[in-house]
Amino acid sequence: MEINTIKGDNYIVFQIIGNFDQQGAMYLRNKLINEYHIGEEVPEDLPHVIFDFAQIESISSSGIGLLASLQRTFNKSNKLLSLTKIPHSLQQILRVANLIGVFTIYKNVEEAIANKQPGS
Amino acid sequence: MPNRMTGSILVIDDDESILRLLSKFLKSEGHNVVAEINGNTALEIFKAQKFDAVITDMYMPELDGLDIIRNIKDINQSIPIIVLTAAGSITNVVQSLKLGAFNYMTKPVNINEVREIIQKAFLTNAASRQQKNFYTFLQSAVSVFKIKSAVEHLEEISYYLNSMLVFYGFSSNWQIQLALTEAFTNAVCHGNGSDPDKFVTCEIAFGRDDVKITIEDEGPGFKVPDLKSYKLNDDIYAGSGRGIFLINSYMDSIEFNEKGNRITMSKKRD
Repeated sequence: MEINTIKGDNYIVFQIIGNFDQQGAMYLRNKLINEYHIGEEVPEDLPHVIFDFAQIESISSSGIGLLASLQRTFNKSNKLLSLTKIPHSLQQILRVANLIGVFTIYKNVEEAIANKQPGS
Repeated sequence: MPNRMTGSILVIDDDESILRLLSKFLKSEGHNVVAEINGNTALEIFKAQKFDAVITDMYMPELDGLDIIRNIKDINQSIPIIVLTAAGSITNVVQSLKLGAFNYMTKPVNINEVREIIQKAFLTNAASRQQKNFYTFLQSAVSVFKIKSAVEHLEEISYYLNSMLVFYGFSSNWQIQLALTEAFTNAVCHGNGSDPDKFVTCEIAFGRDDVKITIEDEGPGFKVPDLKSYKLNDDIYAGSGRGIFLINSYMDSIEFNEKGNRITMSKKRD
């Protein structure tokens, strides 16, 4: 899995490319800890984090697990985390795993950036 | 006029004039055509109706051509998708072909090229249907791999499985791939305890009506869960057990051996 990072004034987009499996989840987790200091809490100055899944090939329960635990951490720290361009298969998995309502999901990155408050 | 094959075609383009032109031409060729200007609506239509081919524009607001290909291939891997693109947009053409697009056409649309590519798509479809019919004679095709216990090898076995699923005409491919991913990762990381000296045995058996995948690790096994009443953790954010839950949700049957180091899961052909 590869990750492209795009930083804006008040957002960071992580483009997830390839297989978001156990190895991919570990890679992303380490990146978030080492480069963005996202651990048990989210740093106060971290802007809106957007995961763009337009180029994802597959996802496993490890990827889903990381997203769920990140969402919990972001909720606790009152910070914004959004998902965009999720493919049909990922939507199905989130629905089956009872997680579809847990995430803020936008159609595309532009909408995620524009809607800084979930649901606004 | 030579015999031409006809079928149902979904045409997606945000440019109404191109949509009208293509619809009119394809209908005149005897095809059933559904034309849609919005990518999201087109996907809903695709889920609800049966099509033999899709023609999609590359550059559209909301969902672009690449999004359309990804989403449609998630639903039906074998349907031919033809991409319409501006002349010179080679990067997106390459990406769309990598994602599984059948072919591409450049704008302005050349009617003869549309006819030729649609006919090729339908011929490929017909060959694939014939191949599918041939599999009604299949009794079994079994492959057994003894793989070094490392998650790096998941990609290789996954690629093999996907190729065989396409070859044998299965369509619920991402669900089966997901089940393999979960079972293989579980065998390497939990069953074999990430010990690189151990092996995982993977048997993939195609029958006339189903595919059966067996994954066995060399670990001590674990307490086999009761799959009939298996539920997710009440804490929806917690990760434990989600892999087994997904396998249970997407495969038609799962069995463990008594020791708990071998899982056999099967999926019927759609």
